[in-house]
Amino acid sequence: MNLAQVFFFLCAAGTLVGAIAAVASKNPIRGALGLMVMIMGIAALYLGLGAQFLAAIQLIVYAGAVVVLFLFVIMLLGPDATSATDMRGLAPRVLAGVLFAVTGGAAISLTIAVSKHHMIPRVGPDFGGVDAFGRELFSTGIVPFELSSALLMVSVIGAIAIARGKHGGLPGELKSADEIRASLAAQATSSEEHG
Amino acid sequence: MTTSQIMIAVIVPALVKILVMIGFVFNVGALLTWLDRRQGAMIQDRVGPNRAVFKLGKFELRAAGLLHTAADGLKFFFKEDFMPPKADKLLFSLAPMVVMIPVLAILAVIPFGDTVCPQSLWHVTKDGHMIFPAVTRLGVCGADPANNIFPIPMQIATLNVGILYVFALAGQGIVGAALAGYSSDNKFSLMGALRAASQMVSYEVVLGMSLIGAFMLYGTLRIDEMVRWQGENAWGVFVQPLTFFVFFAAAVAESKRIPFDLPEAESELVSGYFTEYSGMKFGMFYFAEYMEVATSSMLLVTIFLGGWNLPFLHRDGLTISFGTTTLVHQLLPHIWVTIFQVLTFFGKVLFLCWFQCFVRWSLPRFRYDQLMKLCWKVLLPISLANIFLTGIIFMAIDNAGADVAAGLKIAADVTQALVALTITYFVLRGIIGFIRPSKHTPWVVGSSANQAELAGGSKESPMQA
Amino acid sequence: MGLVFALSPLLIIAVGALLLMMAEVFFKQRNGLALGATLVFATAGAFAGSIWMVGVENLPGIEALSPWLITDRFTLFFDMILCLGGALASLLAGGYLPEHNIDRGEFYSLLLFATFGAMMLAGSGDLLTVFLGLETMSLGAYALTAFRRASPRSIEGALKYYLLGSFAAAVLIYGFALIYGATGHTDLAGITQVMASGKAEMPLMLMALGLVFVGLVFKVSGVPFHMWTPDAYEGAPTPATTYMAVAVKSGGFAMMLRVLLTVFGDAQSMSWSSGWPPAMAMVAVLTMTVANLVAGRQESVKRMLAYSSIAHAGYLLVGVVATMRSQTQASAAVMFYLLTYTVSTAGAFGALILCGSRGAEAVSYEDLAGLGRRHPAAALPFALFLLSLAGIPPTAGFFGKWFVFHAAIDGGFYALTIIAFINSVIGAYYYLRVLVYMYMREPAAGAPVAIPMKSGYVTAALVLSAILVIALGLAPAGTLDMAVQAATHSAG
Repeated sequence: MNLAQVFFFLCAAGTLVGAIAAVASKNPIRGALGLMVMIMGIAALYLGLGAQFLAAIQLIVYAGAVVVLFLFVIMLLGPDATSATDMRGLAPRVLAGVLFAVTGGAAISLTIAVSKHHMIPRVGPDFGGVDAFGRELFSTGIVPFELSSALLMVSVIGAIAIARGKHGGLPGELKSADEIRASLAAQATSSEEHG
Repeated sequence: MTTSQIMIAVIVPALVKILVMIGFVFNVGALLTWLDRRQGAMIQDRVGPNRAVFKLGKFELRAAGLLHTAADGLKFFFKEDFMPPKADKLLFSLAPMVVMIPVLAILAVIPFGDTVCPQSLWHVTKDGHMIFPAVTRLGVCGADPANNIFPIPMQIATLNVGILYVFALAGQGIVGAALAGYSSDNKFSLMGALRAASQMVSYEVVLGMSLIGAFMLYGTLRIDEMVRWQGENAWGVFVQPLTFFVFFAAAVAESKRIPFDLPEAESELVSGYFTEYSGMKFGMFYFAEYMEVATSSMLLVTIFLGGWNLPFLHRDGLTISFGTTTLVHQLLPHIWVTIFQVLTFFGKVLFLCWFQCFVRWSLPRFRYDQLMKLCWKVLLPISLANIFLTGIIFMAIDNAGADVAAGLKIAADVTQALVALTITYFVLRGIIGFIRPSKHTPWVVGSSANQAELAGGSKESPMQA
Repeated sequence: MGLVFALSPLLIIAVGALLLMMAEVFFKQRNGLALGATLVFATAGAFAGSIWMVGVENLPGIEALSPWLITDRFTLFFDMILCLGGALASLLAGGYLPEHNIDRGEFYSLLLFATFGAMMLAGSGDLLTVFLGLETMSLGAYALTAFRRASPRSIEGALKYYLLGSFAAAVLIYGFALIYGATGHTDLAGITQVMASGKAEMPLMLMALGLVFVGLVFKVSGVPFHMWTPDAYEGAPTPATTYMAVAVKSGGFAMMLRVLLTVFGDAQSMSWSSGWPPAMAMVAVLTMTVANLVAGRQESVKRMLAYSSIAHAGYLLVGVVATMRSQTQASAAVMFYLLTYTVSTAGAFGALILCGSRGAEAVSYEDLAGLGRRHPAAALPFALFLLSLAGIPPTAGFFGKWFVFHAAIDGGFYALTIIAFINSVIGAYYYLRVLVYMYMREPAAGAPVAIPMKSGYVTAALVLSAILVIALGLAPAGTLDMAVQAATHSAG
């Protein structure tokens, strides 16, 4: 086992531990922390593959922004954020887990089988660096890069639209099905009384 | 070549570099805890810390309160390590470490000197004389694996992603504050943590955005390359003045110090997210803050103040030139240039640390809405406008032709001269001020006891208040 | 220049959205925003039409966009459908939002950007742009659903839509990743090439097919992935519902046709024994049957229309299955159906908006009782659009169904066609029930009745859709010919 493999297994173990902690811990803050450990593990795995830029972005975006937002929301909710143990739908959940594990396992084993054929083009040694990444992004990938600005724009507008939506509009102007049924029943009784 | 030789050639320099950086930051952090209080006392016309004393018989050493730093350290270790009964034990203990780690890890990418060529440091001639050769201005010394000689970059890790690594780690600092506030089981801590998280997330955006203009100019993300660019052209503070101020403000906000110290506003939140901490755990928060001052100063120095560069001092020696006219050209030995550059870097860092303390004691605290408004409605638009502006100017200069380029070169050299003059002036002022007998109590290193005596008190019963 | 011209529909939409946002900042008067949005949609649609007339073959320089974006007649046809849907939705919003006091300019920007995403989706030639377009469209739709934030139902619907939609997107992109693993390509042309050469890893590809299939069916709200639809449609402001039912669904079908017919368009994947058609047929049958049965039991007209839109997705899926045998004919039928469905559904929702006003909305069937006598001008278009949805001649809906069923019969899917036919008969029941309430019932004494609102915008939308419904119902040949051209062009 060479140094790269040791590094890989260490990071993989860290990632797994983090992932399990994220799913299994009852305390949401610990869950978020587990998520962060997982993200850092993945960033380290990227580093091991020579994708420095991706590793840095992984840390900046996921650990630096996403997890922090999670923490923020959990703190805003306070102690209420810890939910009671919920045993409802245990069977479907286990089933979904098993299904996902099987699919994932199959995907991994098939991918390993495929990798012998080298369907995916090989990359140069400087592939993961900032220079190579930037050159690729602004030459071959310029069209999706520009298009993704629409995606960012729509998410910003959407967030503002929802945040501003607190004011205006009547809360009760949409009737739920139950309310409709109730009003129908009320009508029925009132018409009986009249009749 | 054996493994042990590689160890010596590669790992020993690395260890030395790590020791230099860590040693510097720890010492500066400790020094800053004293400087901050002492300077605050001066600005507020108080005496400041002066009670710690080292006594040996009749000999007393007060060192202008410097001993307080040591006394504080001792106190932290021997105080009860209190933990609130309902605290989340694991997270409570974890939080100070999470705060500390990123601050130290950032040091890895900060260059404190130009690349050293070990083979050019000195030669011993056949007749036993030592000569100290100079190296070329832009030359990169080649590795010589046969003799175990590799160029030594004065940077713990030369990463391709450079500054992105700094951003990646700076983002982790929030987590520590959030954990501390959440796990303390105290509403003031929680509020402090919420404030810290929102403030740091907001200012991190500005921190990143403001630098894009600088990246465009430097054409690189690597911090050592940025410093080299500044050495050959002009310092970042001249070419990106807007960025400098925005980045400076954001960096101060990231370290949560006055005027951005809302997360620990003592008049509102006791002391914010670390209210419940005591002993060395508190010490770690306290210390991390000062180390953050040091690291942010290092970043500012490398990105905007030319890093290890002094005006006109290049890798090969002193070259004073304006445009194509060279006034002075003097080769200097590589070893002396290197030592001088490293000292320059740390000197600049110390100056900025002092400046940050000065800012801390000069400005009042923002209100929370002002803080957020400043970030999202002032600093962020400025940094976006800066990107736009830089792009336009960049394009204009690119298409302007040789005359403009030559003019810019001269302008850059003029800024260098300006910096040189400023530095000379202040150094001279400092020396004169030091030598000339002063009518007032001395600056910074004054004896507060003397001052107390002048004011009518005595060494034994100092002034009240 | 050819490049800019080829991109003009997308550019006009994006620039228009940004200008509208600026306009909202600088002008206090907001009545013009709906008109502005409609004009942007109309311009973009007109440009798409002019590219169609010039002919994509005559545009120099569009290779620069390959493989990311494709400009062919398929794209242009969908661009026009999407712009039409967007224009109708913004006209409806122009009446609905001020009436219900949620008149905020972001609505139109969201509509425009979501349409941008949908057009990107229709024109994408790479899995990456497929995903980008899908997310742009979906994020816009999520925000539109949650637009009336004060209403818990709006938020509930939006949250369900968002969570399930994100999950489906994750499944879809997992499938895309596997496709990349199996073929080494993300561009559709490259994948098709590798598939044709037989070098692709079929087991991996099969798994990818499963995942992509689920993602696609979710996006067009086919059973069993339809759970979000009624809640999202009911909770959203009605113009947003219209938009989702019309444009988002069209975008979903554009993506489905593109991805299924190119990436999984090889002989093996398209065969009945070893490909996706049987699964798709199953989904189609389930979708039609479940949606029609549940729709008949609804008390809320809006919810009924939501289920009806699921049912229509089922009919469309029948057409998608039929592409197995006769690709051009069936794709053309699906596209034509989408057009007729767009005008009929937008009209139906518009009529529902017109039938109610603030505080006196038309929600349940009872609310509509006697509307035909009280307010014939509001009831008449409603009746027309419902007849079109039910597929009764001489409306557009009839020919939409006719062509899809025809394609299915030509392909030899007799059982499927019979089930679809039975379902449309069931569907007619609940559409006609509205007519029964409007024309043959009187409101119970003292019961709340819907009072129609007055709005030029809504009236304009209704007139426009009514004209199109009748025109497409009387003379479908020209439009169908366009659809066939579009389908032929994409099949190559």
